Amino acid sequence: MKGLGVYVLKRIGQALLIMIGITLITFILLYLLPADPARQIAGRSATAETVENIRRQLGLHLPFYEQYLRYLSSLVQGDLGRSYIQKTEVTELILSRLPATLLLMAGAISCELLIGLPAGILAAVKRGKFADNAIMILSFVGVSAPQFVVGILLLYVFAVQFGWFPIGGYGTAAHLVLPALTLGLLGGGWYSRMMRSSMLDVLRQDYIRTARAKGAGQMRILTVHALRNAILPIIAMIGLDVGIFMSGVVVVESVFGWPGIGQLAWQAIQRVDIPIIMGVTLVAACFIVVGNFLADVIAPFVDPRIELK
Amino acid sequence: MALLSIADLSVSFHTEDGAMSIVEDVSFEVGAGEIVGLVGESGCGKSVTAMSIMGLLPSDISRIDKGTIELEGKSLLDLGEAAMCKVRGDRMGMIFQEPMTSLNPTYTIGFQLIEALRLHRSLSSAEARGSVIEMLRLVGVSAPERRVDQYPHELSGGLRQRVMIAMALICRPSLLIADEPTTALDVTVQAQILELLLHLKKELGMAILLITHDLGVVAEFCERVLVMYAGRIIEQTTVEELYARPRHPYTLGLLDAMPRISSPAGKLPTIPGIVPSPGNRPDGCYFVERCAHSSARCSTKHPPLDGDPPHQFACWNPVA
Repeated sequence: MKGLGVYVLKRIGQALLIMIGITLITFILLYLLPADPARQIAGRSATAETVENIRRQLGLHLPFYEQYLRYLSSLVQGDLGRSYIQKTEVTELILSRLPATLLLMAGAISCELLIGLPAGILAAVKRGKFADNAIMILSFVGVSAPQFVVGILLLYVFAVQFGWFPIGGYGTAAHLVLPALTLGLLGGGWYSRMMRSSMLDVLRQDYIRTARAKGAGQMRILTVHALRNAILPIIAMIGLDVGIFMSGVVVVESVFGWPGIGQLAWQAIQRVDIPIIMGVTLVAACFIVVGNFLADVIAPFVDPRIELK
Repeated sequence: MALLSIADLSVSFHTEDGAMSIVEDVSFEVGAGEIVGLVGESGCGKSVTAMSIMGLLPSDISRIDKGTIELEGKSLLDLGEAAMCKVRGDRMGMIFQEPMTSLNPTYTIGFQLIEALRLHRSLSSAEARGSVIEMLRLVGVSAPERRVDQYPHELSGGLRQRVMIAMALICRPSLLIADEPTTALDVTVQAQILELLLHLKKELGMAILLITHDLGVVAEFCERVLVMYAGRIIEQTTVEELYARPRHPYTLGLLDAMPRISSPAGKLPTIPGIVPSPGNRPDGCYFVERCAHSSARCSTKHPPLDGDPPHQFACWNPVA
């Protein structure tokens, strides 16, 4: 387990470098933005003098590198800054929104896996047959349909027409179903395609023939011998997926009025509220780093040939 | 009654290029406790024959067109998949050419051996583990108590093949099918594995169907030989008879092509031409285009496998 300690330290070091890189890139992008935050805060009718005052207050008149170093030094102290518009600490805003997003993420990933994995396995087993073709067409639709369309469609059918679920908002399990499903259909499409190809690859292997030769039935071969080998690329994919998920969450939280950090980000972008945009980007980066880390740590437990390095 | 008897077995593969017959009218028997060699070049249908016996042909592209396969008097082709699962691994076991890839990399060898045993015997985990360790010792794996908890990637090729043998024999089958079991191994390890199989045969009394392209292995190891060419058995007899008096020109060619210590230096004799691929097989004898003894009849009518047992051959103009 000493090896694991060293490994974790190495990964944390890497993560810190990644995070610093991300703050720099985001900062540059926001600096280059033609929109002027001071003007946004001051409002349309404000005088040039007021705008200039606000700019000085926020330190936006400083040269780029100085602004960035100031941001970085307060970041090191755990201070993400204050929202320009809401006048609240960004950390506080994000923490109050985080549980909702984490809940949505858990629901969405469950949906993705519950839809994607069985569909992919079924398609692989029924390769070339009707079920395979149907699943592949559906997952293609799932992958290509824009989330706001899927979201609105689900809302219209299951909330408006059937009235099975609330139209939007947050609070009960019923509120979670449609947003999680919207994200899950897209991810499910990806996972079913990946699971299918991974499974087809594994089913061709010699050890599957060995398992059959010793008298294992089809079900046992799929669940015991094939699945464990086929699931590896999926685990790595889930780690990456957390990142893709963060972009989806902005859209879906807006469509469903889900009070998570995606909605926070969406509002902040509209009003050029730089501290919030920076904060949310950092949180998203954290998610990706942690997701990948977990995927890498789990992999050796599934396949003993993999070593943590 | 023979342990394994195969009659008129024909197998075809159905691909996008159409149907191709791979194995044609194959008939042979393996007696209890007998070691029979099945020899032939790559692609002659040896492995397909073996896979037909095991019921492991890929169901989406292959079809058994006719014939019967009986093991211990039970007609295997009439069994459903569930019943076939009960026979596989229990009454017959199989080992393969590639020990490096034939074990599941994500499970310990103990898990895989215990599974093979518990699929067919109701034993507790502890009992099964005991039998597995005993079996590993029998196949010559040192420190089996430690090895059971290792993963395949921690074992050498020779050890993995020993584990495969242990797995195939753990339920004490009456038939072991060994498909080129030593081809992928080092020469020294090859000899060890073959000796092990002989030793186990004495110990456990199972019959062995040894599939190989190596006539040297057959000479050392088998009691009887079946020679296959282009999907058909063209000669079968005892090992002594085959080496002393081969009757089919193809068998003669194979024997001549074997390097011997006594043979003069220089090029080895070869059989001219190539094996006709499935779908391009000639009308008469499939060997006609490469045969030095062919006559007019050879290119019109296929010779049946004929002659007084134990020596039978399919040739119109056999070598004297």
